[in-house]
Amino acid sequence: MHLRFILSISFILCFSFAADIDETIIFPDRPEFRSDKIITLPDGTAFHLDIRSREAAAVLPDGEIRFTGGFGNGYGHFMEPVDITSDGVSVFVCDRAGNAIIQLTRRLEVVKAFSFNQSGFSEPIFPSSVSASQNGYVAVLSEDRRLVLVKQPQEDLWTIVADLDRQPVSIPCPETVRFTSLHSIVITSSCSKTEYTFSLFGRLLSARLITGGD
Amino acid sequence: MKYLKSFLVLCSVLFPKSPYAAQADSADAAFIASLPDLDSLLADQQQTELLELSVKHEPKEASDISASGTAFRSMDMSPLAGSDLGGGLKLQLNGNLTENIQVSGILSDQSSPIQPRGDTRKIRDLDEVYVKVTHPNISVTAGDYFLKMNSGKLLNINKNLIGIKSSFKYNNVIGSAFFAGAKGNYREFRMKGEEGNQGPYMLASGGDFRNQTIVAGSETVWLDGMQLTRGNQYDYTIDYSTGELTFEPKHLLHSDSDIVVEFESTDAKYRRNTAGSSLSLKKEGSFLEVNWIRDFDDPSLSGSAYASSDLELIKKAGDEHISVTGAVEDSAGMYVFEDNIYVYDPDAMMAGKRFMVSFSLDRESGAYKRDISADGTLYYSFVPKESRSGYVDLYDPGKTLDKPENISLIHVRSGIPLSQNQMLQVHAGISQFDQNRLSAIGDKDNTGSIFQLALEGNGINLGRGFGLDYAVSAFQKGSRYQPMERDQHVSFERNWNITGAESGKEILSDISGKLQLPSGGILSSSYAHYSVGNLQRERIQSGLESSSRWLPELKASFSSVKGERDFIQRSFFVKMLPGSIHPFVNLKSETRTLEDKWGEFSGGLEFGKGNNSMKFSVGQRDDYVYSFENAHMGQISEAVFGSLDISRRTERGWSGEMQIRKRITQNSIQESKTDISLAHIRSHFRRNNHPIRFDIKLKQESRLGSGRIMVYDSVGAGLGGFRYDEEFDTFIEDPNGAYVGFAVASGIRRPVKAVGLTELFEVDFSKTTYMKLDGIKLRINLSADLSGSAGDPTDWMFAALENESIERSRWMARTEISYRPVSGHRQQTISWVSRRDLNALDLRGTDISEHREASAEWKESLRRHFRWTMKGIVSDHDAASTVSSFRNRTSEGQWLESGFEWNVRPDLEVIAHIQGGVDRGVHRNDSYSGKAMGLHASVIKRIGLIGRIRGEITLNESWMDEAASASLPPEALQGFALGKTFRMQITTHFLFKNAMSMNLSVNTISDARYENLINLRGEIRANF
Repeated sequence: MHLRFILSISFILCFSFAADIDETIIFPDRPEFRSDKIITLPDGTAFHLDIRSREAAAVLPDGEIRFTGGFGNGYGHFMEPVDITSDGVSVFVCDRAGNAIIQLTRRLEVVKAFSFNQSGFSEPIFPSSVSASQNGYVAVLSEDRRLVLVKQPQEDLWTIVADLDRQPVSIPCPETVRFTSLHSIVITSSCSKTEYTFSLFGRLLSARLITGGD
Repeated sequence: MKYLKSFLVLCSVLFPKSPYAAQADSADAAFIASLPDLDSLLADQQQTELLELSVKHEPKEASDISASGTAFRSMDMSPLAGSDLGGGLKLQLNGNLTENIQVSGILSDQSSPIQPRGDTRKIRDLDEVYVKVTHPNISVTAGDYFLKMNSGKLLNINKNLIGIKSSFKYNNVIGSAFFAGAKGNYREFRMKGEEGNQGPYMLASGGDFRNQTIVAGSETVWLDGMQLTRGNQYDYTIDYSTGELTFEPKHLLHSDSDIVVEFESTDAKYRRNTAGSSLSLKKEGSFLEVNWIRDFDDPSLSGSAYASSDLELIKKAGDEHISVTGAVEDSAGMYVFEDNIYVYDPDAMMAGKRFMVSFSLDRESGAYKRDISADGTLYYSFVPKESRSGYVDLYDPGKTLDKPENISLIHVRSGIPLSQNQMLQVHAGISQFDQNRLSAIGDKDNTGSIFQLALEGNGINLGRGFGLDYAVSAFQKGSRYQPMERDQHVSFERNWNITGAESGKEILSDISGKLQLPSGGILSSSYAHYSVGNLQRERIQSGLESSSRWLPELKASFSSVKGERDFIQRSFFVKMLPGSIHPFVNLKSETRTLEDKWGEFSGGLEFGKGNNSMKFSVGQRDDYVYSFENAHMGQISEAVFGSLDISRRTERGWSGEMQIRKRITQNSIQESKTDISLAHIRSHFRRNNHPIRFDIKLKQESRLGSGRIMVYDSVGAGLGGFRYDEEFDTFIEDPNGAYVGFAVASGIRRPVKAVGLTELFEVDFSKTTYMKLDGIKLRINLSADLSGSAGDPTDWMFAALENESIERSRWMARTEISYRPVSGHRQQTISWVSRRDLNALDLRGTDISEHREASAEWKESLRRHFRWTMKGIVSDHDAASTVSSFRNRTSEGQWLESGFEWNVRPDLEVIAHIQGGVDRGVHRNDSYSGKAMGLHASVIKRIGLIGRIRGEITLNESWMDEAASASLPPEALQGFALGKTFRMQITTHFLFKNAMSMNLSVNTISDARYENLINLRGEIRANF
């Protein structure tokens, strides 16, 4: 009874706000799809992530369009996808509330979910950004736990390479992670407008202000 | 000066609003950009050299093609599981070969297992190979690609292939050729829906989840002639690994729903290859298309799943059906043959000859059900004929041998314009279908043909705003013609009132016209004659479609099929009123003279504006069957139904959808009443810089619950994901375990109501104006998966073990409050988790486990590089089972960890804590009390920029109180075994410039469960 009551209230809340939005249609077959993140491979393959509808789309070089995802914790679904990346062969979707990085093929077939629970973390990590290097390393930033984790290409487990609270300098508001080479990872801070470069092994190498004009 | 620059940058980071930061911000951009290294971080001058190493760039030769990739070799060694060598290659190419020729591609042979639902068994490997070379006139593609060979209505082939294809274009000529292996074989699945059963509907034929896979993304699903969209927010979901299709609540299935699914399945016994080519010429409105395609199975030993003895049998059989027994006499066999029944007798208690028997799924004539013994072994037991109706999956102690097929199609299609708007089209095709490539017996009837002649006119202006489209066509398909994929409309059988089982030559003559009205409406009419074998049908169709201000949508259609018995279809739909609110009325009916009829009436209201829409409808459907006794149609069922759809998306961050369906059906023949309610509610709130994030999904559905049995196979210590605990008669998740687990269908299904809930709620108080709450986050996560045959879902949440109406009651609630201010000096987290899982899917009985845990963690920076940590856990765990009383246990206790995290130097980290706890409880009415004390330490040493060594060691001792009479449950004392535990892990990782990397890891465990277990893994990787 209580459950019904809570759900009813939630439902009323969700549908009681006005003001429409007007957004551009990307895929005529899925007019509600919005592209929040896009990555493009050199061969022209493009991957889109719709954070709100929890869907990923792939536009293959021959024009074929594929979709996967949807809100849920089952196979092929995402709880809260927040970022997408590719190592050129696979696609990786960062599922924040799902506490996992989900590996997909270029054609968006699910390969595997790399859960952080399996790596021995008793509490959720809440990954917020993901990046993959060309040789298959995957780096994850947890904005919430303020950790940088790396998974080696053939491994299933994650290793903490940097705890952002135990660095020589304070790293406020970490927002994104990305590989800049095979052996360096850059963490971008949104509030200090600074890029922090770490080695693949977690050593802070440099900090650089993001200059204007970009 | 160098240090001053760094100081300014550092200040800007640490104190964004300080004058130092302002000075840094105003500095020249080039000046800032010249600071690649945070020099002030350098501990000493020795490290300057390492930092310089990081900014060195290898000189690259100027080239139009860039290639990058990696190759590796790996080795795993374990004294119990032996050694395993592996390796792989990944190569990416992009660039221009010449000015006009571009090349791009991926080569990767890294095998990646698909592991849906957490099953630990490898289902199939995926290799990514894709290379494309393009020129303005020619392109060549190698690797995975999707073949679309479509020509008119008669040739419509879509396949997922792995191979090579090339195409060219020269003036008006386009051609292509390909040779590839098929990822799967085309299958078509047709069935009626079941009243109130949304699924799962089994697609693949094997029945054994381990051996059937559907090619991902290959399926096309149709419901009542309408193509559906995959996705849990759309129409259906599909599990490719098990071949199960489930319809979302958007479509409420009933007994007259027509389901058609086309898909590619990998359950074939032969490797299938595909070759083909096509040529197309277009000139001055006329065109000529020639297409050839051949699908052929590889009947060699390497290409088939059969032994040579089976292939010999197939060779001799010609096109006949081949069936062989699955029973082989064997003194070590598990079955005894008695009274023509194979009886499972693993303990050799029965006299008589013993057999090894392999069973295969046979839903039509199978007589055995799948069962599981108390020790978890799968076996099959005979089901008397009168009891078989309760089983969906039945098995037969035999197997049918599939024959290797060979199908070729040649199609020629041509169009000649007779005038600007009129065209004469000719389409002819020949098929060559050999049902058994290994045998020439019965090959004389392999050839079939298909032919279509059509005259079409489009957009013929009749004046005064009237236009005309017309088509006259004659179609003929020989009885021996074998299409590769569906070549008729998906609703062809229903529309022509045929079963689909008719055989013989098909002839279809059709004349149709569409009159375009000045108002924009379309009036259509057609007459067609169809015959298949001796069956004759005549069909008259007419329709009207129009749109106007007061009637935005008006559709009406009438179809009459004359045959032995007449068949009439009527439909009428009208949507009224201008603006955004539209009442609508929908009428549908079908009548088969002297057989049956149904009529459906529904109406409602539709609202649509911008991103908001709402649709509400109610209706009724009556079904009748003709009674020869009473010489009239008698009503057999009455169904009333209603639906509500709401979709909303606002710029304030809210989005949501709701679908509710209800259907109450009274069947007078079965004297039954079904009341089905489906609901799917999703709502999200997400806005940048807003402190709240909220997501909820609630789904209620009716489905056919399918029993699952978890089966465990021993694969060697350290290679599986589970270990068997003898004292508790259960399998425990363990990364060093010797068992892999996978689910198999029990074959027993029962209708259940299912409720699923997923909820995420998060408040980030840093984004509020309450500064005192800065750094605090609150998270509440709920998930529930409840299914049962009777009762209220809210009661299922805490159902007792004995409750037989429940199939599964699994839920989890987690609340977390964390405090992590930006300064990072202090971290505090409090969390509370409660989980419950009642699992009655197993045939042997029901298991229930409950776990509650509260934990608090505190990390405090005492110095810049030194942090004190403390974590406390209070937990209790209960497990009970009707499968085995050994599983009944309780456990409650406390656990404490306290230590430090110390960055000794930039290249050296030490983390250590002492740990200990107590647990007490009951196992099978005997009480126990255990304690544990230990130490955990890890050291990370970074070797400049090129490597890292990490060592981790755990020492623990657990003991029981002397008075204890029970065993220590696997959950107690954080999973540590009794006695001394020693765990050590050393991992090294080196990257030699950019060219090569090396990993080595050694894991050892020594405790009461594993005596000196050592796993070693090494990998060398070259990057280029």
